[in-house]
Amino acid sequence: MSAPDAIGEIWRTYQVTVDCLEVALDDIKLGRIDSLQGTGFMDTPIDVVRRDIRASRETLNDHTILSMWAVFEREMVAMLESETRNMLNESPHYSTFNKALLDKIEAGIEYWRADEMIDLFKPALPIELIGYAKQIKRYRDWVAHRNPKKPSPAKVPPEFAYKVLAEVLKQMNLSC
Amino acid sequence: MNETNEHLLKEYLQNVSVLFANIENWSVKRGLEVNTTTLEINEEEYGTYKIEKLILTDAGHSIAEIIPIGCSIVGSYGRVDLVGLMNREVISYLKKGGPYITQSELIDGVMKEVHKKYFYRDINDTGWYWIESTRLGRAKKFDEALFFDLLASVSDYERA
Repeated sequence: MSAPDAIGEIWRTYQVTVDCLEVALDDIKLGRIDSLQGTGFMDTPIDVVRRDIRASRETLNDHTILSMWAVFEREMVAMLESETRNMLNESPHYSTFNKALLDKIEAGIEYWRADEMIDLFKPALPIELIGYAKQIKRYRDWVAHRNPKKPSPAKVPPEFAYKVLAEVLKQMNLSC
Repeated sequence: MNETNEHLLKEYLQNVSVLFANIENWSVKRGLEVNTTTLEINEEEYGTYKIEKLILTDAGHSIAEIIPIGCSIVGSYGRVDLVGLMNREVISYLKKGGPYITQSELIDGVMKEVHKKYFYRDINDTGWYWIESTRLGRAKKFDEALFFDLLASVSDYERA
């Protein structure tokens, strides 16, 4: 699966899940008991079901951003590793030192900070895109390590995160 | 807080205030009651500040709340959410055109701006917009008709 597709897959799953929640809400609103049979919604007070669905939607938003970021970071690391290998393969006269150096870089890439990896693409990507990607990372970190005492960084709507991360990967692929 | 952030926060508070005045006006025309309470928002960029939220009721029956979420939002200049018993919709303050990226190309050894690529369509003026988030990325200007459509979709409020 190509990088934009991997993120697209998460995005499509998000959309389907949101639609399912909407359908469930409609069924509850219209009292379609038959479609609710066998679900956890039966025998639950309607206000509790509504509150649970709304809370699930908010959790889903944050989890979608966490998942998209995980895929994004994995794809970015893979791209940098592949680019390092290409540099080695395409150079006809590399020394043993060159090889040792590139091997060392390749082995260490996955331990680099995400911000530093993104910065490598500064010469090739629109500066706004770099900025948005870093803001998504900050928000992702805040969601992952949520500390109620810490103020929130800029919040990220899932659809905007999807558009940005898919575009960054597309442009990174083109620039390599 | 630096001067730029102070200015951005002031603008956000003012934009929310104008939006709330409109919503109150539209709601009262339909016989809905509008109450306010104060809430606190804590954001890295702006610190802690107080802001009002609106509570809409119909004959004592709670319908929805319009809750400011914050000034610091990636891709927009602030957000309020319309939250009903059943769902939540996001209203964003966007500058004309909306968020974009500047595409550049190396031409004769010099990086030149080629074009701007916008994330959303139909943001023809600065103002409050609702993004049809799970579909086409098309923005709709937040007006009275859209407000009541969204109110019906997040709550059990029936349009007259």
